[in-house]
Amino acid sequence: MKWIKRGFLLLIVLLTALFLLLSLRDRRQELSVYENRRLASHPDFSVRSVWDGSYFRGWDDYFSDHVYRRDDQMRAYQWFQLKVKRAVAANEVVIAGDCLLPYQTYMDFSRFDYDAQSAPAAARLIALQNKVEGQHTQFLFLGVDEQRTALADRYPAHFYSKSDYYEGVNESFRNACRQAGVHTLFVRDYLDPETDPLTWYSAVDHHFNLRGAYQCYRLICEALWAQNGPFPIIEEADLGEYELPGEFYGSYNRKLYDLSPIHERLTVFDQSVLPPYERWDNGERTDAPILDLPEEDEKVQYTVYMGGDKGETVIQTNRPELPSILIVGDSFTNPIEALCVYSFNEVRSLDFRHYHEMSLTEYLSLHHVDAVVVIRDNLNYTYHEANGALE
Amino acid sequence: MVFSSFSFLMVFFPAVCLFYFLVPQRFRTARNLVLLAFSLFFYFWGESKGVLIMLAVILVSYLSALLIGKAGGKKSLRRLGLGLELLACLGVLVYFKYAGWLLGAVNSLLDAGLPIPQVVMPIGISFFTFQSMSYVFDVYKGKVPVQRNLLYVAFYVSLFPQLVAGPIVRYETIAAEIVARKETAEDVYAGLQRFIMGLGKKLLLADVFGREAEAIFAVDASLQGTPTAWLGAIAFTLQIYFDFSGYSDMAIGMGRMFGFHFLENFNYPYIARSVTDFWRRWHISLSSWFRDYVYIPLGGNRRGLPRQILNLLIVWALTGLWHGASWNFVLWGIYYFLLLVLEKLLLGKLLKKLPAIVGQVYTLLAVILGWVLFNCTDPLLLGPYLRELFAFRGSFDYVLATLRQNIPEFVFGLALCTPLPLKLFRLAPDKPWAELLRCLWLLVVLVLSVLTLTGSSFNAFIYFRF
Repeated sequence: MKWIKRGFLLLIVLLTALFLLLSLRDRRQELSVYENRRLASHPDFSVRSVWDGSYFRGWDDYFSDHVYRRDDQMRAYQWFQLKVKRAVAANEVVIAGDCLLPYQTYMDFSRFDYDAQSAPAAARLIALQNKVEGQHTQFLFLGVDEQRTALADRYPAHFYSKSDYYEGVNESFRNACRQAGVHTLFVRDYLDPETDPLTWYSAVDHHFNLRGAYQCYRLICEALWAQNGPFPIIEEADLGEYELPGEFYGSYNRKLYDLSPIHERLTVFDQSVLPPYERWDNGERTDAPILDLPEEDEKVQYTVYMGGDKGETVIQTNRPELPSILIVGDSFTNPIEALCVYSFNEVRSLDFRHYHEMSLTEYLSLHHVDAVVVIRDNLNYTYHEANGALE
Repeated sequence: MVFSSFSFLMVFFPAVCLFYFLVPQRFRTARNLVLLAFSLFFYFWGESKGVLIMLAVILVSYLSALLIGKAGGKKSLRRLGLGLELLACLGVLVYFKYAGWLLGAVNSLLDAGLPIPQVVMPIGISFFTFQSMSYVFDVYKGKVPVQRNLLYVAFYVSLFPQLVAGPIVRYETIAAEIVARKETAEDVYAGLQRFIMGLGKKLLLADVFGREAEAIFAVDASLQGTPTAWLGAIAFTLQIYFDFSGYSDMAIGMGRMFGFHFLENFNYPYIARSVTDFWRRWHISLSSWFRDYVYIPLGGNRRGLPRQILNLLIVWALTGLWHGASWNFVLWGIYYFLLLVLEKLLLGKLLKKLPAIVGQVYTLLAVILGWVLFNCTDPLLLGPYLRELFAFRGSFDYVLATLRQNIPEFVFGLALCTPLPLKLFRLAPDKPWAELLRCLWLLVVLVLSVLTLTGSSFNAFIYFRF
């Protein structure tokens, strides 16, 4: 017996030493692709940092971020969750047959007062609409369903989809906007309910796909046509759409660390259909393309469209006969902006999560546009910060 | 630095062991100095400024005990020594832990507008001050001799395994072992076994239940629905047990590796047959501290029932407050006071006559409700949460989904709340194959714990707050 106990102690000592040595020797990784974040660098020594504790906290972060084969360990952990424990959800992601959805904590919304949230949101929008239209600019609010709502009925049995809440918000917000007189369009009204929502939505990410984006683009163009037309609208068949070769790394399959049973390729359109353009990001002239295509062996992210979220982007196509448009919103706007370059002389976009220079009305007084389109996903209809608090 | 971190597991603990065991066993003082140096560094790592406060407490405790020792029969000098210790330890505790809360309460009650100092509470202050006081109390009562070596007092108070989250080790428990102990391979093996099991309890069970509890308690209580509210309360009940008992296991295990035999801090509290029984099984080092240093000196049950009830009220209000400067902890203490008095006067005798299961169910329900009080630090959240527990509405779906997600955790968790697994463990014959199986099991727990530590971001000890 003694030899077993001593052998076990020796084994633990050797394993610990080996793990430490390998961790120290391991090639330093700066970014965690799985977690979409920069890993901790080793802390800088100073008397102040030691005294305020940040120095040692920094080492805590550093050690946990740079253990031997960290990515492999994280993958092994997820593999254990999915294959050994046979969990349906791992790392807050639910594997729902043919798609991935977010894990949500149950809430009983049967007594929730939706109108208390919707009425102020609609009041903010009508105030904004009045200001925008006061500057002879057309205003439009475009509501899009987020992926989890569109695919709500795919949640496995007992898993909470929160659709009772989202539907409640949707109905109440629409009523409030109608009563207030906000010019709205809700994309769900124009999508065929008999068609599988995965036609328009990603199976591994919370956004819509190119087809979903095209529906939004088309709706916007048709809504602006009467006041700002004529301008060209590209037909879906003319987009020259094709799948990128690398696997699409969406917000959900990314969290499963390459163990997702569902794989997807992102569809983009042929950039050659676009007119020549000049682009400015956050006031700086840039040669960045509309579609930031990755190398063949690279993983594809949603940042393909417009190169990801930016505070301000301006694209000019030097076609003064066409109208100009300002699109306000978060990452849902990116593929729509890309398509709008085809139809508008100037496409501006603002994302108030990142843009802090001035308010929307101040911006419009400096940069006149023919139309302002605010795009919100239904998770954020009543949210009153950043792109939900426009003035 | 928490035990379940790579900086501790990969760097700090191996370094302590290396330096400690490199020193030959006959150089006891040198080994103690290694432990002391690493213990101070351990505290400095997590609480650089707090180390000065801890050292000051150690110095005052050392001097107070010396004064008491030198006083001989002079009562006034002995009392002076004790008074100095109480003043220092309670002063430090009140200032760093309660000043902001007390002044805030005064301001809101009297609209006094007193300035509230922005004080950061040093980690583990409740533990090291209580350990220091227990040493001086025991010297005062003549239970232990005065320790004339300052380094040994510092060693006792700052020993890193139990420094920041207990158990509250009495000086008398380890006084002899500080100067004369023998570390054996058997002890190191047993200690490591205990440490790994503690780590597993923390990372593989407590954190899983913690994630659920945190998610549910974060939801507006009026939107939870009754089944989900109960799930949150039960998940927190399991989290706090595995979190704290896991930490205690790690502390006891590490102590054992260095030749110390700390007393147990938990004894299957969730199978208790009454609340009185529960408190003999939960955080034993704290409840026995209050019993020996507060309840008994106040007269305990020796001065008649009314006085006993008053003593209990004082002890339980203090027990509640010990856990934090917040009204919910006071309420939690009073809640247990009421239950204990009820049992003493009425329920206790009845429970003894009824089948054990009745007492166990009653106790468990009382404890679960107690943890709701404990976890709702905002008193405004408490009412809605309690209301939701008994509102009988909402869906069971989320409960079923959570159970489906975490079947192994719930099975192991519930089993480990009972002595059954340990009994099964001990049933294994004293044969090499059985020992090999045990080692294999420990390796599995260790590997899974390390993977969980890497793969999961939820990792905070509840009792670090205190």
